[in-house]
Amino acid sequence: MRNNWQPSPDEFNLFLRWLDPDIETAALRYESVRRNLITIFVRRGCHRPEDLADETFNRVMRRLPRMIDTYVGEPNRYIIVVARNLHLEYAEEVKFQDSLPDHDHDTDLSTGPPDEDKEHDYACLERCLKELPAHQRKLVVEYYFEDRRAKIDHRRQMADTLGIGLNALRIRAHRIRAALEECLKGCLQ
Amino acid sequence: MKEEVEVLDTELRHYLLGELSSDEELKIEEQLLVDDQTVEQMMMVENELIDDYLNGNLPPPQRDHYQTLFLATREGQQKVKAARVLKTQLAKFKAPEPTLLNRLQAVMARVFSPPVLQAVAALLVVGLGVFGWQMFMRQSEGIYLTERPLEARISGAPYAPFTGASGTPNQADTARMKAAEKALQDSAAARNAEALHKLGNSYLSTKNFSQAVTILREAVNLSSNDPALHIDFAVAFMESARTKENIVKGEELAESRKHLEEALRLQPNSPEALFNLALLYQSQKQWKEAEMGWRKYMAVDPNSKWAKEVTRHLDAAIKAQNQ
Repeated sequence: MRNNWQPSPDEFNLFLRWLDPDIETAALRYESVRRNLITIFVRRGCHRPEDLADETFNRVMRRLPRMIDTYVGEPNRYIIVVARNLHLEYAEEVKFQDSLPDHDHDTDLSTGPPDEDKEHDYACLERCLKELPAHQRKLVVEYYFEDRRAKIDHRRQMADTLGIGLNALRIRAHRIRAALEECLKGCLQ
Repeated sequence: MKEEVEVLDTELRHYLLGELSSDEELKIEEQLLVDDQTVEQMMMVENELIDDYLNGNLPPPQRDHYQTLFLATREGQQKVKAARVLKTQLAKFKAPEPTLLNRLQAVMARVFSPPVLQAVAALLVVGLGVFGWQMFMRQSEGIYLTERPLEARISGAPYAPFTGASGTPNQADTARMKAAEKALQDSAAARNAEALHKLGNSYLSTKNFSQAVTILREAVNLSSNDPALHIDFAVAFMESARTKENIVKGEELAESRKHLEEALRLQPNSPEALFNLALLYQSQKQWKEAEMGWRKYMAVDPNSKWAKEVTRHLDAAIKAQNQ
């Protein structure tokens, strides 16, 4: 599926200019689109999302000299179509590999770890929480506190106390959770 | 604005579960490619999806699909692992709010400071609480033998028909309940699973479900191998869910099912757990599962007064499937 074609400096520059005439803006856009392509490939269950993102760009760069003058529309539409086609090829390849033994998609990830791991989990969370500023620590603990029956009312009350909307609170909690998860990933390994 | 967020949330949830058409998917992915805010919103929806997954709130087809896609990747597995730690451990970091029971406990600790005296005091209050509860049950036999307060079965409660009437107790009953609850609160201050269980059940009987959930949760944490506790905790969620909507309702029903299944794991032929699980399916209009549940019940308890009620439920489940 992946070929060894690599863009020349000219082909790469053409691609950047196609993304945006301003080279600095184009570079930022390149990084952002690459990051988001990786996110999309991960959500599609791909195991080598970075490779697939790079291969998407390679394919677009390879075709670009032939279609740049005739293509009408935003570059992102073209890029995503190429990415989707690439994903189809990837899925075919994985389907073949899936028929081989030693692939375990049936593992139930929702079951918890054994008791001895729980102490380690607790220690990790304690360490990662300590890395957060006190107000963030308080917010994330309150927001995700496991008390379903009152969760919605509780979050509304939190938002009122902070003087922000529910969605703003959700975003704030999410960003803290993302930082917490990043720390946990390192600690739990 | 709020509506726009909700619409996109729904679309993103369907996207993550692979439930969109190819065109809809293309539209979302085009947006994801260039709009970091949409990516962030997708991550939030994803966290909620993972929490649902961990809470057992995803129906089997969605669960399986999600598990073979995103959750099969290294990043997905790391996210699930982190989310599980947050789910199971985060509550331990919440600063406890002083409750009446905590304050009572603190007073007791000050009065009876040596450990032996504290133990004697704890025994005394547990004894008083249990005595109060027994008195309450004896006095209120009249109410509960003619009509039970909830359709679900509370562990150890004798048979009484359920009419669905609101059954507001009279003033004397209310006073007796309050007295019994007070005695139980005092005994529960010792944080004993048995006393907490009784207090939780008294809240269940008086339809104070949120208090019942709180108290029974603590009891289950103290004594997680008691099937009766899991049954009553499940009843608290089941009844509480009747008053809720959408996501919260689903979460509470899932909690209820989880604890009934745990009760059945601990005591496979528990009539109360079998009854409540079948009732849970019936309340969700999962008629096939309900039918199987009622049949299992009849295999265990074919002749009691409960069985007559079960026969009616079984007929209703069969009829609903044929409609």
